[in-house]
Formats: sequence, structure tokens, C-alpha cells
Amino acid sequence: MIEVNDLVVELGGQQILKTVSLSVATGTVLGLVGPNGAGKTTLLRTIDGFLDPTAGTVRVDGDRVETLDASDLGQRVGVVPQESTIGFDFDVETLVEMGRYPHRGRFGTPTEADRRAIETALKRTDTTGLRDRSITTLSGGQRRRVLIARALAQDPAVLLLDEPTASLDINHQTAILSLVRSIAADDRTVILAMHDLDLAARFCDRVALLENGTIRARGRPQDVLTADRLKAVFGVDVAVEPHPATGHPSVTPQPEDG
Amino acid sequence: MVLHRTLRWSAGLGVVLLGVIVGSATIGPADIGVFETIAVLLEMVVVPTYAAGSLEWIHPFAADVSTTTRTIVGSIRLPRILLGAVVGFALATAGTVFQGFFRNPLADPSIIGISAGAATGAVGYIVAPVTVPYGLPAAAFVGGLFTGGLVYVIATEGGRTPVATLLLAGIAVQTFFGAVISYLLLNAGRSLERVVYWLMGHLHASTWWRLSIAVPPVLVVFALLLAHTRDLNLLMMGEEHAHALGLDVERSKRNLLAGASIVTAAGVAVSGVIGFVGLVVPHIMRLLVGPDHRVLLPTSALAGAIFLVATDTVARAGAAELPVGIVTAALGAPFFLYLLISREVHSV
Repeated sequence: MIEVNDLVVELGGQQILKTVSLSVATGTVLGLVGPNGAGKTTLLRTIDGFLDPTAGTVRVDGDRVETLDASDLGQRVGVVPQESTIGFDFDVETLVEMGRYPHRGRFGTPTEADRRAIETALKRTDTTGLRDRSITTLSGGQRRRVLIARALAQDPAVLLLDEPTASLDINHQTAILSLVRSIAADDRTVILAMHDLDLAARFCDRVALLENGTIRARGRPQDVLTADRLKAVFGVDVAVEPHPATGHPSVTPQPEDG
Repeated sequence: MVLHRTLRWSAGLGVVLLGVIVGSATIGPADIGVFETIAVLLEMVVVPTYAAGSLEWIHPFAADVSTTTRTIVGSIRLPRILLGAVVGFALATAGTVFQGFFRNPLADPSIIGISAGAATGAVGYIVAPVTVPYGLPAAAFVGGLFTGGLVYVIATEGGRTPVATLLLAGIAVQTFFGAVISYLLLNAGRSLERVVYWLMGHLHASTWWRLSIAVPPVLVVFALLLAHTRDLNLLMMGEEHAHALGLDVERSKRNLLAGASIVTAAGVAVSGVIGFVGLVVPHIMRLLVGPDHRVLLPTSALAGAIFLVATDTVARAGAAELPVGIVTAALGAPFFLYLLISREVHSV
């Protein structure tokens, strides 16, 4: 359960988020959509406690994020950051083991619980077979799965993913989002920032549409993603129709002279 | 698993270090054989024994060697060799920490100006008309720590210390101290030779006393840094990742910075500015054991000890003794290039 109240975030004197409020119930997936620069990543980083809000509060299961110490926060909130170049060659198992950091003391070897969490995370993300591979040798889709496994090893109540499907082919996009859905199904709260409106409509229980640091609309995908609103926010004519197979809203940009 | 790998590598390197120490002790102007050397070394082993109500120190390996041999090996060569081991250990430790901390392959113990600060302290002391007991290492140590603290304070704002700012502040402070040292050199007068010799880095005239002041800070801080190796692994992925994984990023950075600064200052204080060890040894070990700091830090430290003992042996083996700093660079650079060319290097 995440509650964000009147959140204001300034970075370098610029107000990136202007009084954002939202709440996400346990077991649901919220999709953050909106144009580049709308504040999606900033919102995720603030929920995770990486950025300090100028005003307003973020609560995870009732506790304010800034009152939690780093390892407590690490046990509660897992993050899969935007694709970053991972140029060091840790093997997959070592990377996933890092997810146990907030659960372990400074000294000592992994406990049985640590080992179990690592194995479960590898299995859930279908990366068990990659455990001895160096991260630098993996494909984009595999790398994304490994980073999700690392976050799962934290066993967090809340999982935040920043554009988990960016630069993946459609097969991997669907696989990642199905995985995310199944993670939410075991009583975790999930927030995704994403650009693909179709996929957001199909895989998220709720979406929030951000524009210029404010939430333009939030609710069920079919209520939020309307043609008029998307035109107003993205400045592009779009056609929104129920998908013939799934019934979810399907968004198609219209050429300007079409 | 990681622990086993660390222990296996450390045990192997420990044996090599012991071999290098013994080998180095046989080398010098006086011709002393391997067995004689080992006899002297064994003779120094003491065992505390409790007999007849009082504690006694017993030398179980009493040997039949001449006093001259005993003095040369035990009082001249051994302190120097062990000091080299400790300094190499310290510099490689600091280099490993700084390279991980800055995620920068060019980082070395001098990166944030600690060596320059220590050098300023030392040169200032040498040039100054006063002499106090233990003044030189004390001035260098304080100069190094002062600089580390100064750079940290300059780069910190609102409780956060961005790594890029730290790096730039370090370069600025280092440049400034470089100017101070140059000015002091101009006015060094009769001390000039001593100053230049110190700046090149050397292990000349090492004593048991000098060793005894270097060992405690290096070993204690090394143990503390060893407890932060998982922090370094997380930091290598970037601060956002590290925070997400539950690391108190700023506190961890502060601890790592303080630790690396203390070992650097301690090393520089007793030996001058010996370059290249802290840069090249962590790279060599990373090629061999991989990027995981739980294995990398202890193995780099031991390899640094081996490297400096070996190079200092070369430095003092010739007819005229060279400052070891010259030898570390002259031997280390080609070896490093060989490794770069012969192995595929993708990243730090």
C-alpha cells in the first residue's frame, strides 16, 4: 500500500512535481504514463526515498518513507531502475545476491533464508540457467529479468519499475509485464513508469496520466486513456478503440494529414 | 562460496608474500645465503611460555649465526622489507577502494589529494628549521588527513557528497598543494636533495620503529574496510541502484572515504609518495579474480605487499640504490600493458 500526499519535488530550483497525490492498494499494478519530462522517474525516485520531497509525504504501509532507515526501506521497497549500462562483469548470481543486502548483517555468510530468496527470485524470473553468466554477456531482455530478480530477492512489499519494457521486442515486453502482474498477485504493490499506452492499458489495473509534474487523470485505463485527453497531453491525434481480442483500450496515433 | 574463494586466493598470495620476503632478505651487498637467512628469521620467532609462575619468552629456533649476519638481516633488511609490505598493502587497499568508489579506472590513492597533502606536510617539515622527534611521518600523516577532510567538506552540500564534485574538488586541492610544494622546493636550499628523495618515494633507512607506527592504523582500518566490501559492490552499480538495495549511500561513502584516506596517509607518511602500486595492483587483481570486492580487496592488498617488496628489492639490489617509486613505475607499467594486451579487457 502506497499513499502519496501533496508531493512537491524540486530539483536544481526547478519544480518537477507539483502537488502529486495518489494511492495504490496492495496487490494492484499502477501504470504511470505521460510525455517525456512529465515527472514519472522523479515520482518513482521520491517514493523510493532516493530524492527528498520539498513538501508532502510518501507512506509505505502507513510509515513515512523519510522516517525509515536505509535497510528498512530496502526491505520494503524494491526498485528496477531505468536501463543503465552495466559495464562491470558481475555474474548473475552475485547480482541477485545483492538484493539480500538489506536483510543481512555486515559480516557472516548467507543464511538459509537468503539462499531461498535468491533461488526463488531466479526461478520466478526464469534466470536460474543464467546464474553463472556475466551480466555483460546477456541480452537486454535477460538483463531486465536479472534486475527484476535482484529486486525480488529483497522480498519487498512495494516494487517500482522504471520503463521495464523500453527497448525490448514485443515478446519480451509481454513476458516482463506478465511477470510483473504475477508479482503483484502475491500481495505486492507495483508501480510502473511506461511509455507504451497499449501495454499500460492491457497490464495495469490503474493508470495515472502525468503532465508537467501534475496528475492529469487517474483511474481505470479505459476511463483515463481517452482520445481527447491524450490529444491534450501528448499533442497528437489518437484513435482509442477497444482491442478486438482483449477489450482493453487500444491507442493508435493518427497521422496529422490523415 | 565467495568466502572460500577469498580464503583460497589469500592463502596462495600469503605463501607467495612469505616467499618474496625470505627471498628479498637474502639479497643485498653482504653475501648471506638462503639457509642462513631463514635461520635468522626463525630465530626471531618467540613463543610465550608460562613456567615457574612467570611468563617467559622462549626462542625455540636458536641458531648459530654470526652477530653481523643477525644485524644485517634482522635490523637492516627485515624492517625495510616488512615496511615495504605494509606500505604496498596500504596503497593497494586504498587504490581498490577509490577505484570502486569513483567507478573510475584511473583512480588511485592520490586521487583526492591525500598524497599531495601528505607531501606538503612532509616537505614543509623538512624545509622548516626545527626538528622534533617523529616529526616527518607525523607531519605527512596529518597533512594527508587534513586534505582528505578538506576535500570532503568542500564537496559536501546538504548532507550529500556527489562523487563528481569530490573528484573535481580533489583535483583542485591537489593542484594547489602542488604549487605549495613547488614553492617550498625553490626555497629548500640545502634540504633540496632530501625533499626530492622523499617525493620520489623510498623505503630507505626503514626501522622497526617506523614499521610499528605504520602497522596498527593500516591493519585496523583495513579490517573496517573489509566490512564495507559489499557496500563497494553496490556503489559500483551507481548510487541509485545502491540506495534501492538498502544501502545508506552517504554514510557508506563517508566511511569508505575516511578509511581509504587513513591508509593512504599512513602509507605515504612512512615512505613518501610511491606511485603506481595503488593504481596498477587493483587492476591486475581485477583481471584475475573479477570485480567482487569481497575477493578483490583482500587479494589486492596482499598483491600490493608482494609487488612493493619485490620492486624495492630490485631498487636496492643494484650498485647505486634507486628510490623505489622509480622502479614501481618502470616495472609496473610494462607488466600492466602486457596484461592489457594479452587478456581481453572490457571494463574496469
